[in-house]
Amino acid sequence: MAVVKILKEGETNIDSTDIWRFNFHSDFPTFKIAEKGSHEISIQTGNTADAGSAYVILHELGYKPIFFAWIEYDGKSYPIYGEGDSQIKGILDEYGDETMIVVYTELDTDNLTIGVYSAPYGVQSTKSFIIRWLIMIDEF
Amino acid sequence: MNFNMAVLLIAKKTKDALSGVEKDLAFSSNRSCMIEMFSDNIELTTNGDGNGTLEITHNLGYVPAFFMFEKGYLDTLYWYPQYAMQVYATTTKLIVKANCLDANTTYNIFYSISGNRQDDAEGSGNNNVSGRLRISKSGYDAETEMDVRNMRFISGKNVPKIDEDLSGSVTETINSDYPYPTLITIPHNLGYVPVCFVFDSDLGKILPYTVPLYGGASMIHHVDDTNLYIEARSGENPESETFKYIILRDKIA
Repeated sequence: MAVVKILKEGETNIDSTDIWRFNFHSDFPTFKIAEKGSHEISIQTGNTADAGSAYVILHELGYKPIFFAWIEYDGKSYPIYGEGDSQIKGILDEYGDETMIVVYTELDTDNLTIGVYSAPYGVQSTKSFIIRWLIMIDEF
Repeated sequence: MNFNMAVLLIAKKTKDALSGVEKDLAFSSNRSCMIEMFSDNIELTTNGDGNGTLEITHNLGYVPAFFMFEKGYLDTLYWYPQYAMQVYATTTKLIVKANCLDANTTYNIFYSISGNRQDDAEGSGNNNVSGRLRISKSGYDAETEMDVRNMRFISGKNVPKIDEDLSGSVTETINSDYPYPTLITIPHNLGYVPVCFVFDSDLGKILPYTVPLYGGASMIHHVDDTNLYIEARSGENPESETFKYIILRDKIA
């Protein structure tokens, strides 16, 4: 088959088998963005989570696609994985102690859900976050 | 999608570019790529309190898509997806912080910062398009556009390269005994440490996945220059899980 290759700047061997030396190589598919967007979610005062603290993104690809997601708070945007400590600092719980803000994603063949909760106690005051996502055509 | 324009479609090996099945394509000018603007493998050394900060300036003027891998906290031999470090992006920088990790210790960090915004929105004001093969987003002129946010592909920058022969899936029964996880080893034999992503297809969770407070499941992957490893522990009972993994030819180290 014909192959399309584009070397990185400074590289000279178009026949190299070190594929990392290429910016593009048609034998190795690249990520292609199918869906993208952003949305504001929030946790209301006293809650660990509520109806507004998760958002469902319809992708309708019929399979489970590769995706990337991030959550922004106070001008800082953190990566989101399956579930875990967001590393967002400085949010207090209802007892005045710093709470852990946990972020999560759930993916199925039609939807990507992105959500957040405070653990173990509710937040002292309403907190809003911006979530952003890139969903690929490419299948996991 | 504008089908009145000429399109460039490149099929995956053994697939038909004209089949109409987009996931069979290695490349499509109808879709935006993730365009890597900056990447590097750098060190972060903590102070006597286990704290340290790296500031990586990108100056894009917006919050870019990014991902990060780290080595040295959970294990000194393997690269993990960002886990122990705090990392966040602002409109000008990527900030990596060690907060109360091991004192006076050097950790390795690999980062990849895209030209894409995190929502792939368009914009103006930058002059950062390079390369001779340029494909713009709809409504922009590929010959004159200068802001990478308005481009679907530029040949002057790297795009991720998936090795479909090395990527695949594996099904295993996952141990529930704390703290002993099930370890799955997947050879890649590339001779360098590749970027890779892992997804638990049964739970719908991309790794790492750690339920922090309820003694629940914990799953993370790590990689070296020979193998990809998936380290997983289920919740209360052993569970059969199918993991799908994507191995890129792009290099962490």
